[in-house]
Amino acid sequence: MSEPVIEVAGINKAFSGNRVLNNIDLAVHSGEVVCLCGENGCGKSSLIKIISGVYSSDAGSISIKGVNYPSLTAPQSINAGIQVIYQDFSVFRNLTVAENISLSYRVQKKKWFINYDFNRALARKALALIGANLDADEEIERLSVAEKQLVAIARAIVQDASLVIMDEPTTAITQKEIEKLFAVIRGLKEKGIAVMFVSHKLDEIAAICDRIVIMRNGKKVVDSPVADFETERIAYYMTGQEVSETPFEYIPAGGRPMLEVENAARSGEFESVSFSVKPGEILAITGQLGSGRTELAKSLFGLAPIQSGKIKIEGRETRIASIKDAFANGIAYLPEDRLGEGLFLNRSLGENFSSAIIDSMAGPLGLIREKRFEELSARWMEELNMSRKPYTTPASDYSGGNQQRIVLGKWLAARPRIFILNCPTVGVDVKSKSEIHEIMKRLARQGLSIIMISDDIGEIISTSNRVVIMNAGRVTLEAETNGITADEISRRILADAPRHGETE
Amino acid sequence: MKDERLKKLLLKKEFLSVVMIVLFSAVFGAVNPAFFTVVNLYDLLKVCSYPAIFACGVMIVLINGGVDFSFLWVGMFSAYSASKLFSILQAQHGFTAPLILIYAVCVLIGAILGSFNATFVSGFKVPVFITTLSSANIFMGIMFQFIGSEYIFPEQMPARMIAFSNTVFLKTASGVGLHVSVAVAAAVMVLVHFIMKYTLMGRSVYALGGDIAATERIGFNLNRVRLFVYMLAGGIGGLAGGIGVSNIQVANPYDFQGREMTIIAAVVIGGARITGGSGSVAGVALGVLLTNILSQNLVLIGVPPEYNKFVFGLLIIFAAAVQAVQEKFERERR
Repeated sequence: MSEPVIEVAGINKAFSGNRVLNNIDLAVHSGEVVCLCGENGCGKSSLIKIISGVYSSDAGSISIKGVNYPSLTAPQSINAGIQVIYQDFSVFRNLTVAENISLSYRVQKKKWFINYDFNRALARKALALIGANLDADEEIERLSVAEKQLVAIARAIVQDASLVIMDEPTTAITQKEIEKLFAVIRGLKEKGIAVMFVSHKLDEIAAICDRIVIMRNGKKVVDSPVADFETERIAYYMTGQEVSETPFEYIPAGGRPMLEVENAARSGEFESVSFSVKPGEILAITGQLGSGRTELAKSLFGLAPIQSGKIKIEGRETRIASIKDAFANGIAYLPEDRLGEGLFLNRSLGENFSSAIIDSMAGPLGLIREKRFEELSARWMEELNMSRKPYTTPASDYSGGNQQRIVLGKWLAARPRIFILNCPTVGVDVKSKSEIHEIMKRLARQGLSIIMISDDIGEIISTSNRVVIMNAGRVTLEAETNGITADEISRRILADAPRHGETE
Repeated sequence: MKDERLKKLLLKKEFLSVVMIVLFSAVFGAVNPAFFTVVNLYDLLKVCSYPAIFACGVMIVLINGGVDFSFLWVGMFSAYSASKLFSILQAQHGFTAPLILIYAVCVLIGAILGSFNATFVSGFKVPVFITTLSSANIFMGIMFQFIGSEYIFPEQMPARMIAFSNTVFLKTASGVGLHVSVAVAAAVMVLVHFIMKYTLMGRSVYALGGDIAATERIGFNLNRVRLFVYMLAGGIGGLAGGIGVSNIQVANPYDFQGREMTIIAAVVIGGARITGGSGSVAGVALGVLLTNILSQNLVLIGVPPEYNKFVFGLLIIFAAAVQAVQEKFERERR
């Protein structure tokens, strides 16, 4: 094979005595797409930071295109052609597309004066190279997440990237946009650019990657061509233990539905939506971003109420016009953006768990009683399988998977009858993911009605008993999950919109 | 298409101040026809001159992502120190300092004070408004303790500064001229516009105001960018102080006191976002014009001078509300 773009050998790194990387060897060749996976804290972020010169390694060697770098710095790494596209894309919201693409080039080449025509030309050329159709003069603020990602990729190309590292590039974009991203990655590959792709999604790894590298506890445990790798084993390699998920089994308990939605509509978002959920059921709602699934969930929680149609709770017609109404009817909602909408990052565990039921934390004079925080936290840490920490620990001290549990606990403390979860496992590691699934199944068995919105088809099949697929604001399919295949669900999600006969 | 263009215009951050300038001018002109005379225009521009220079410095810090509260004391410290130095040299050694030297010293002192602000912001990671509120007091204290607090009267002031303050150009038939400080303000604005729009350092200020982590990731040295921001703003503040003192012809340490809010308001009304990342010199010019038209003429429409602050408060809230509505509208357009 050709000379590798980058080759690292014997990389070690420790933070205050805590070893995060242990003798890592890795080589990436030009035109190769390598998938890097591992749980949170496995060391993959540290490895990326060492390759990009943000951290220096304690031991080991790094060579880029045959040149040895004894102490690689960030500018050296950029100049050698290593580009990292972070999860937040690191684009400037207040600048135009053209300036975003050209600014780093100007920094790199030390061009002190700005020529806006040159910026535009450079940006257009880079966008054309990756087949992105964007207006160079548009401000980033007005772009969608997927478009921002394209800008970040174009920016990497402008700087003569020979290795582009993408940190979980598919978590925030829709299925269709993922296909487009893959086309862009294949284009990079043809140009001889190597791509390191951080992802946990099996179908993506199989679709785009040539090689898979799995890290666990700072060690490389798998380095194999994807073709020879049993992708089903990925969870085992990432966690070091057999994570087996038993599919959710709904035991019909009879009785009337907990929630019935009849002909619900909200103009421009969804229409004639009908479905019902019985106690003990887990109903999955899926569809592309913009299919109306999130809007539907929000309207059930009173955030943007339905404009026509009926909502019945335990057979009684109920108006849900505000969060207060939803709350009074025992409806809880776990938002998609847990950091922005669900969690008080700087507040303690106790405060987070109690935030939906803060009234019950008060004593006779209406003053908060510290002891109740402690009791409440102890209880939910136990129920949610979290490692024990004092109730005063800030939520920011926890990893993504545990933060999601804190938000879950906050709502469960309010004893809901209907729990709507919007993408509950996005951005959490495999182990936490399966634990969150177990928690959901347990809650359903206790009689809670659960509505789970999800993109993850595997998750839908293994954790729900029924699935509702939405497309362009309408329900296009409702089916039992044990009678439908993943391919069928995926086909239905991506099917053209029923009304317009066109997409995008 | 036409509709689209109209929307774009309405969403322009400078649009609000243009509309309000036109509106208030029409009202004031209707009440008092003398409003639309050259004499009045020249007077207005003179009043705007050194606040506009201060405002440019405030804008740079605001784009970088913080509100500067120290700029008036940076200005006064620089101007008072330079005036005192050169008045002593003049009185005791007969040295009549050339104007350019006096203002160069103002700029230099301002830039040095600015570098202190930069050090505090970069070094201790203290929020900008806290840093600058404290540094304003520190600068004031140092000046009163070590440099002086007494008035420097016109006859003691450096002669060239007094001569400068009596210079006018573009004389009308009746002999009224435009004050020279207006030309200085215009030159500063052109320079700042050029720096902020056409140099990499200027763009780095916008970048930092937009996203700190991203700025670092593309290879900017954050401390260097901040040093640039505060030294530039400090230098501009020093010059503004010098021009202000010469316009008044007296170095009175308390002269600028309490005017922070009107100048910050002018910058914000001119469209600079309070959270950083956006702002333009054109907007600053419009904002300064608007605030000064109001403070000069409100009395004409029967608002007693003591209500000036009340009206200003309302105006700032109104401008902030319009910005918020514009931003909401932008978001929904996506």
